[in-house]
Amino acid sequence: MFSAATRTGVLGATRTSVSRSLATPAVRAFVATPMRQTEEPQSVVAERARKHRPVSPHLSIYQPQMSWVLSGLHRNTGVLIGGAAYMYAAMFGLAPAFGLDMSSAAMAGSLATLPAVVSISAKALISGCLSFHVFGTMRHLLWDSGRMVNNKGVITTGYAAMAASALATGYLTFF
Amino acid sequence: MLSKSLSLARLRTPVQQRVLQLHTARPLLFKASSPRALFGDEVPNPATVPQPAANRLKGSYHWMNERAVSIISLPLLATAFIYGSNPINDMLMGVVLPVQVYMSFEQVLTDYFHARRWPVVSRVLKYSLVAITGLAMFGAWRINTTDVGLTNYCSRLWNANKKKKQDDEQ
Repeated sequence: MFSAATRTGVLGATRTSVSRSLATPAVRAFVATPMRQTEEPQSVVAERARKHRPVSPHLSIYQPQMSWVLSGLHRNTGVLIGGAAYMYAAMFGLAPAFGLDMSSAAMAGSLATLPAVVSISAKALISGCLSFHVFGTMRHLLWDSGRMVNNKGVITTGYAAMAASALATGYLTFF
Repeated sequence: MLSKSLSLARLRTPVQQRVLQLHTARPLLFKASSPRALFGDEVPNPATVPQPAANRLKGSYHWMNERAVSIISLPLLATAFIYGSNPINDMLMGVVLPVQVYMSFEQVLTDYFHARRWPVVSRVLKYSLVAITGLAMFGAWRINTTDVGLTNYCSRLWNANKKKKQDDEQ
């Protein structure tokens, strides 16, 4: 399949050393599909070929932009914070069934012995996720009211949300 | 239909004639989409067809419910972070925040495990989501009633490695 391209070069140009190196990349992943048995139906062969076929890059080549990076971050921080809060609250609810003591005194006592590095990084992660998600919520509500729904608005509100959440994270982690 | 349009087209400019030809190139398609072709002789009167009853939990109402829950959660969180502990605020947070997290997770589920493509997985995940939401609301209620309240609980854990103990502030 690639021999045809290298014969005429990329874009039908003459086959120079440059076009040859462009047409046949130096490192190409070689994906071996198992040999076809003669009695297999075409659908089985097609299914196997589909499984072994490489996927074109998508997320890895899309330029990071304020729109989708912050949108993904809003969702991921929400899932993290919400999921963690759900797990913790559910565990607290079921604690007497498992004989666990999760009262504030007991938990505070066990958390007081954590090394400073662990406690500061945990606090930074939690407060960072929560504050970015809260300011992202305000950003989404602003859009839902119809305001700043344009490219410039996305970028401006994005920087504002990031700045606010950085300040809030710094305050909550260290004070 | 085609002959009628072509006869009228003689009165127009060449460009308009060409446009008319293009627009009426497939008259059968336009004919098929008329109500008579679909219903025959019994074309229903749109005014008499009953509309489905409005479900306040679906569609645009659901969207507005999501916004309402998000808007309500903001002053609740602001009170908790700025003022401190308040029993009514803690109780409200114990209800509003799980509801908001539930609605958000429902959207995530619909995005990645839509029922059309994942009939079993989506159902399993949705039931698990309802279960864990119920458990979380129960846990929040238990913190509010048997322990010091959501705000105080979080602040005690947050400031556990500080030397002084703070109860109602921050």
